[in-house]
Amino acid sequence: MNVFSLLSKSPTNPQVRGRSDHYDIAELFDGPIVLSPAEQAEAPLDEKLRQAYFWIVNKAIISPHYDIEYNVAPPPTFRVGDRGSTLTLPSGQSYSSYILLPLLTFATRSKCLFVGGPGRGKTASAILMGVLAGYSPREVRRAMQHGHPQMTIADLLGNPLPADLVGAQSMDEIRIAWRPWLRMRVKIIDEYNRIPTRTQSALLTVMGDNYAEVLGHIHECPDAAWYLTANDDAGGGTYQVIEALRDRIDVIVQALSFNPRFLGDLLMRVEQNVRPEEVVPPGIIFSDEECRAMEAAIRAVELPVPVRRRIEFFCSQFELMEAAGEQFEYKTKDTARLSRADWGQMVAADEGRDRLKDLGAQTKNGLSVRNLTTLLKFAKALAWFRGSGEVELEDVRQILPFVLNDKLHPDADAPFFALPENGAYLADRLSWLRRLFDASNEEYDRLDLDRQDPVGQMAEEFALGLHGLETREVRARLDRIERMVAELTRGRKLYGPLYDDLLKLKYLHQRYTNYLAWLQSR
Amino acid sequence: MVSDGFAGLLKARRSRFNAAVAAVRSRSGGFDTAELNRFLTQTVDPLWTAMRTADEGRAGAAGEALFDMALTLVEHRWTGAGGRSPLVERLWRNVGPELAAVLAPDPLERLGVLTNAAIKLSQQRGVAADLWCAELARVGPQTEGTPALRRLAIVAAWRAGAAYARSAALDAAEALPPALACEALGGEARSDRDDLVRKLREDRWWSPKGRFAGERRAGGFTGFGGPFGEPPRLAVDGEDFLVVSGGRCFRLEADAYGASLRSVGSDRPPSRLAHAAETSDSVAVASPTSHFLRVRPA
Repeated sequence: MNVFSLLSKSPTNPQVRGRSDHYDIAELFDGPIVLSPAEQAEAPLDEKLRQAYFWIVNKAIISPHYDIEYNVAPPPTFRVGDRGSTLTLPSGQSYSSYILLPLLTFATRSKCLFVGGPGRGKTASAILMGVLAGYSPREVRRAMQHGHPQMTIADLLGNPLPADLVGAQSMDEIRIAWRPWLRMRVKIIDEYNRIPTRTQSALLTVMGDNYAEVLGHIHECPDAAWYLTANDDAGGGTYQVIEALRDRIDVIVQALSFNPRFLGDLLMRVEQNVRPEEVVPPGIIFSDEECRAMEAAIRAVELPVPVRRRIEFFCSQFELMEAAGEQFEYKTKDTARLSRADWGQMVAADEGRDRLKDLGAQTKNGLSVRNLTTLLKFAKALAWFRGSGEVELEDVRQILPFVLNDKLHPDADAPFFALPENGAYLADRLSWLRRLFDASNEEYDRLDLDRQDPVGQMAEEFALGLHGLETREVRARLDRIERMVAELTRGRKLYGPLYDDLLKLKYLHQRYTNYLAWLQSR
Repeated sequence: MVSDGFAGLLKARRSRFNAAVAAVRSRSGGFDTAELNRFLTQTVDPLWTAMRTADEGRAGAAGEALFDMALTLVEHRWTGAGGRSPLVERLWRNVGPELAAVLAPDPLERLGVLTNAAIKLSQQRGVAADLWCAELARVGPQTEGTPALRRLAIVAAWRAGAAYARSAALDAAEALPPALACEALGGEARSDRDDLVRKLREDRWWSPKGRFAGERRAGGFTGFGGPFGEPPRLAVDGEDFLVVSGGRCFRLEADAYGASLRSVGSDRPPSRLAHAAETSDSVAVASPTSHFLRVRPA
């Protein structure tokens, strides 16, 4: 019995399920002596994932930081130092992003990038994730791809068999010795920013489309969780990482510093010669079937409409750039980016709004569909991990910075960052993103959009379907849309949410117009 | 002083045991190594010696398992004069050697199961823990395998006063070999097991010694370690009683062997509460001036 490989039998989140009147005689045998897993009931998958989390927090990682804070009551807060830094002692079960995010990546089979200086446990954490998938530490280490400047596509994907290369009469006859890591359900790329650009493109195909190609031969890969590491993701690697590859990464977690107060634990680890990946308890290892079930359970978590509306409102803030296009649909930052126009000039021309109040003025870009998909997926995963069947606003608030880190780029010249109290946000992107979301929610509350959302009501009305609608009703709806557009545009400045509302109304108007034309043609 | 055999075991596995102690000490600042030494010397040594006598071939593995369990028990202060429960030590000293041959093939699972159960039962009011130990020592040597030992532990717990375990105990008895089940249920080894179980199921106040005609008492004031903050009131729930006191809700189960109270969810408290309630076979009485309940056959 190794004390490092013991799993706590206490419920990891006792408030998750209500106390039951049902009595199970097996409780008689619960106690300090840890019995074999065969003697214990199989834990539900969310409980199992939480057990994995707590085992890693308490046994594998020596110095965890609880930076994903949940509160069930007003937490005690303290102001520290000349700058008045706030220290909060959360009143609810809070989590360490460095462990939780990789685990949610594992559960959703997504892609996670570890960043941080050398020797902070990035690779070790990635190996742990491989062991959770049922591979031995040796298998995981052997399958791990180490980025280096001479890495070729053949190094990464596989080689044609030399005998076939000489004897083959056609490309079809050449067999490929595919690299074993392509078959793994957990894929690890260490120091991915040291891979040459051409090889990065091959990696992009595997990451993005889940297949590898060599000499016209295709190898289909299983669904997998990906872990990449980089000492410096801000362009400090040997090669610049291609944008498409960066964009495929779902979440970025930073390895935080080691707290010397935990040196005693580190000393014991050295003296006992314990390697956490070697002593992972069997009870937290997930089969492929369990991984699939976990993913399905996460997809089934509900996202209530009020929460979804706030996400919509937040995302609407960023894409609009009035001066970037003439046609209404092209007034976006993406138009400006594609035109390669001077950003400073574009910003200078984009006047008329309060740039301090406009959240969109703080960024150089908007959000992509991929970003939104990832945000929804991870918000559901976090809610599921916490034992909830539906996403709460706080789940979105906590997960959003990790998903949008490196996706939403701040404009350092924006008036917001010129204020002395906001200077730190340029370095601390996570706090900046969370603050953006908080500010968006404050504006949402100020506008009372939970109760007053006429555009939303029109969209709901449309979602009921067009079947059976009479000409008169369609005309009435078209008239209502036109009056609403007139009302929304009267004397108002154009901000992101209004821009998206107007485009939505245009969409509805077009759908009704087409339907009306069809009715009249019958 | 430890026996020569046990000393040899400790010496042979010195580095492993030292590492385990170091690991526990690093996470439990106040770990009592003197108590560990005492427990090893006075309790583990005789038990291990008995197990070695029963199964020489497994003595090494058994020694490791006993040491690891001892470490856990000492760490959580379940042993010694100031320990949280004297029952654990009584189990290891008095029952363990009697069951040495049964425990030796898998001490961690088998003694672990009994140890955990001893800790649970020692925390429950109304359970005669010594009777439980005595039953294990009496019938336990006839068991084979961990599942049978668990079943016996359940039956013995019920007969020691854990009335909440009645249904599970009768299920467990049905899964035991007939002669063993009859002995475990307090009947003759030659009795008809199925007939015995049927009678026990049909009448909660019946036992092989006859029908219970007395009265069972349960409850107590929280200030004296009981479950009730204020005098309880009752309601009928099926064949049992629900008890409400100070906003908390309990299930009261009573039979020929004892009475037990289990805290249950208070999300659906009974609406009609009284100081007396009656089921088809039992009567329960509370009092506005007492924190105790009395239950007797109807």
